[in-house]
Amino acid sequence: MRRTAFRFSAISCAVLVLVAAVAARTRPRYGDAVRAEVHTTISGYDVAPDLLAGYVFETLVTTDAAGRFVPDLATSWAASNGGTHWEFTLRKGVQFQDGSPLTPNAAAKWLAHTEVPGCKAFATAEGVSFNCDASRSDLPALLSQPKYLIASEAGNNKAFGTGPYRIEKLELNRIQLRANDDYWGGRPYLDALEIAPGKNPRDQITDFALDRADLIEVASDQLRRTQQDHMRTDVSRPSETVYLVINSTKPELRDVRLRQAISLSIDRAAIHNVIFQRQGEVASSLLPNWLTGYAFLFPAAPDLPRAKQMRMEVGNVATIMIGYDIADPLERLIAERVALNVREIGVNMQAVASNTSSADIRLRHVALPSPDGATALNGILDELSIMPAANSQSLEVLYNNERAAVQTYTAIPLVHLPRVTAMKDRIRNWTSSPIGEWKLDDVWVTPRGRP
Amino acid sequence: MSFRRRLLGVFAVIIVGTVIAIGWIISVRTREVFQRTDDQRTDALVQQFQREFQRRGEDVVQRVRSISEAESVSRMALDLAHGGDSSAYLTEAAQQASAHQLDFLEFVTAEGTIVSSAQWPARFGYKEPVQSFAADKPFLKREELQDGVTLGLFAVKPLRIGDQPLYILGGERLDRDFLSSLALPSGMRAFLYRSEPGAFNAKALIGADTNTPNLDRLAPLIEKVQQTGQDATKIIHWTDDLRDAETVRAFPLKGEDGTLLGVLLVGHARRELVQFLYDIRAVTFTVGGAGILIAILVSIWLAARFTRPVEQLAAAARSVAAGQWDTHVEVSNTDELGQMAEAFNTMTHEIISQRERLLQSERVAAWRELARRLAHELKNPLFPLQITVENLLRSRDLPPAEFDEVFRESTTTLLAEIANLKSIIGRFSDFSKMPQPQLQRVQVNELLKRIVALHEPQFNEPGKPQVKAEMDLDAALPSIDADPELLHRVFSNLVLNAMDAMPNGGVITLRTRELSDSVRIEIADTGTGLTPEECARVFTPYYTSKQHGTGLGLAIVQSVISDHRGSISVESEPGRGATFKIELPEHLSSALQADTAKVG
Repeated sequence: MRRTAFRFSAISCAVLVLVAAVAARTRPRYGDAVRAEVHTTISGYDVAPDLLAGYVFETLVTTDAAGRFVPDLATSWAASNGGTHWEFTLRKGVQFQDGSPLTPNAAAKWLAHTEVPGCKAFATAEGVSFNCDASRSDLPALLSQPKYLIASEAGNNKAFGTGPYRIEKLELNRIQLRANDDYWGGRPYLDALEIAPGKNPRDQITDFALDRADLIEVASDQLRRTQQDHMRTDVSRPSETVYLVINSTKPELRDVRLRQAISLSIDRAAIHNVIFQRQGEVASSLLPNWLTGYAFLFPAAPDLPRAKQMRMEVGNVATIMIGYDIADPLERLIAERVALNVREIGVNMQAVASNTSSADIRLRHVALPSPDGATALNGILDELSIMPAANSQSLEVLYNNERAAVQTYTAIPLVHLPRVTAMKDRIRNWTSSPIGEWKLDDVWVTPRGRP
Repeated sequence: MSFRRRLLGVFAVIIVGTVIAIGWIISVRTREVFQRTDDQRTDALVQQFQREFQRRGEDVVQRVRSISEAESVSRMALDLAHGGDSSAYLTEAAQQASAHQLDFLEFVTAEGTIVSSAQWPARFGYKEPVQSFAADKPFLKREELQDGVTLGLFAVKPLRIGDQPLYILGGERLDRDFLSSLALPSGMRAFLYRSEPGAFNAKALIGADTNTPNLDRLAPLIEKVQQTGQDATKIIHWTDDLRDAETVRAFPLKGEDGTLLGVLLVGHARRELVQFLYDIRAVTFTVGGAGILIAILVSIWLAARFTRPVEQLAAAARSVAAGQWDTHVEVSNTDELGQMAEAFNTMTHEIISQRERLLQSERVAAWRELARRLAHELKNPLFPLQITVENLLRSRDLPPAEFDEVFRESTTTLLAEIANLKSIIGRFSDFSKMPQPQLQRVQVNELLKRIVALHEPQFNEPGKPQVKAEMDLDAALPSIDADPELLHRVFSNLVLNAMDAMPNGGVITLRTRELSDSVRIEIADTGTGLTPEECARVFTPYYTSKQHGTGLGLAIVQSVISDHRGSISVESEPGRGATFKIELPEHLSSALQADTAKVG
């Protein structure tokens, strides 16, 4: 009996030790730092806030993992007068990283500075109100974009945010963030976050392999390789679109028939299947199908006979230059493929490095600015310098607006790509938004050398 | 031109011509020999180039084969054979091409679909008719790239894993680097012309500096190869300096289907050859020039040797012509020229002998003629003298009255005949001592008019046939230096002779004409004329064709004309009259005075 009791006690102790060890590995821990690398470049301090949105700076409204708009610096909001007047109530007890409190005046002043289209911001007793010229049902979605973050101006071209991290050092090739101990949502687990901007995808892969980075962006064509190499990845929904942006002074390209002929000649499926190795989806619309549900209505297959006919109607066409980023081999491949497709309709297109000559057509990657369809469309149209569409939450209006924008053929979508992130196994509690934005508030890391 | 000069000229022409001909033959033969040598060298170099070209082709075949043996390629072929995703191999061609140093590499499925392309990665999914190319054998192919068309040396290797082969199409770009990487001998270079529609385009010439002037001079050669599809060779003169020329041999480069893809141009510099020919030419000219100089000197000596006897003969002949009959030529040898000189000496000797004999006979004939004339002239008065004296002797017996009458008549006759004899003797005396002309300016026309006026009564003498005088006088006739009295005698004598020649009447024509520095006077009649013999002797003293003439009239006329440094001649045919032509110098004073002084 005693022997049996001893055995039971020993087994129980072992189980307890094992359970304790497992619990210790899954329990968040404070400390350490994460080194991240991104492709985005910064040319100065004034553009850094966009990159640092969510870490250093926050917005009134944000999105959760499901893509819903949830409170951030605003705890609630309400519309009146048919959507022309909005009241946003500010979170209490929030202070900027310089110790100053977030007041309605400070928030209204900054938002007035960033200019919400068609609306004017005013400070109220509890927060910020907006008076708009027309109904802005999408205002919460609009204000969730990084463009409308809240900051406190500190002079010397610097600003303080309210986010979980504060800027410790900001250089063009390295940004060092330190945990904000006074963050209203609680101090982040990480002591520091180091971000290296302007890193091309191949360098990121290399740095990741050499353990010089913990968190990197992965180009879609590299996803298969990372998976083959058993790298830990996070793949978002298609949230970045590759466009051909036509911006030429060539008279022929002002003719919508030639632009349409170019669009009809492109074999998007080949680009999607081979160059992007079936990642994302073929794009003939500005917004991905998961966001709208109607993207399949935009034909994506090439129609060479029609393209040739439209090209014939235009007459003589001089050689067209398509520019690509010389540092991005994927872009070059896309440009060359497009040039090859276009040659089939009798248009001589030459792929050139865009930083060496002025191109008639450029390749652009435009990230989905919002998980909200209307907001995303307007953001994309703004990014592509296409006339913004009327604001409406109606799906039909959204479709018509998008169709009208697509039929200008000044920006020809090729593929919608997911945002792929590769991360070290030591990164825990990883989350991202549906459009691939990193959520590092609650990330913590295990010590190096430990699984 | 003298015989010596002509001989020298002939010698010089022959020598110069011979030297030039020899020089030309040497130059041509040398050029032919060196051209042949150069051709052989070019052939050897071209063959070496072709071997190098072939070797590079084999090298491409080998590299494509080694790619086909790579493990990763085999895995890819296996994966694709089992329906694997071809997009995973998009960059495989570029990696393999880089590893095997190929400019072109494509993996192509059995259906001809490009899986991966190194030279144009974006061409995936497009078709490449790779099945039509022979495997494991180098071939030329036109390759379309993004920035244009180029030529490549290709090889294809089917990799059979599973049912369907995977084709590996690899190649090397035929560009400047390719051409410069070929191991070419010194002085040789290679171009590659990529055939394209339209006229010659210097930019399609690979391996040549497009800034090189006169690249278009290759155009005819390239066009010839394009038209015939055969090799062709041409010497290209890049500049005006022949040393910058290049022998360029062009070869057609054909693809698998026989279409002309390009023209390979192998150039071989001619500088050494041309310089060598220049050197030979310089030596030829120098030696030829020296030879010509020496030959001319020798020919001068030879010509002098050959022509000296001839010149001596010519000088001797001129001396003989000048009246030096006793000229003698030295006979220096026994050859033909010596025989000629000896013959000349014999000839002059014979001429002198014959002249002496002729003079002797002429002198005898003259004396005989003079004796005959004197006898004739003297016999005419002597016969009446004899008759008169005999009549006087017979009349001694007559009564005194009759005797006185006879005596008176006889003495009268005797005196008349004696006077006649004196006259005859006086004429001979006058001929023997003609006076020297007393010169003054004489108007010949006026003198002739006076002569005609003087003889006018005789022309129209009653009972005799009429003689008509016609004057054709040059109004611009200048005056001349002459003795008017002597000229008067000359013209008067000729007019009287003309009247004597026209016993039945006729026309006497007096004509004057101005010549350069002289005047000509013609006195023509329409009388009986003269035979050629008479014409030849008419001016000989004591010769006459008249019954009662001394034969001194025309001799005196010739003597006077000769004293005036003039000339007289007669033209006549029997029955057609005779024309005496006199030419007198316009100015005579100084010469004649000098002669007069000399005589004095």
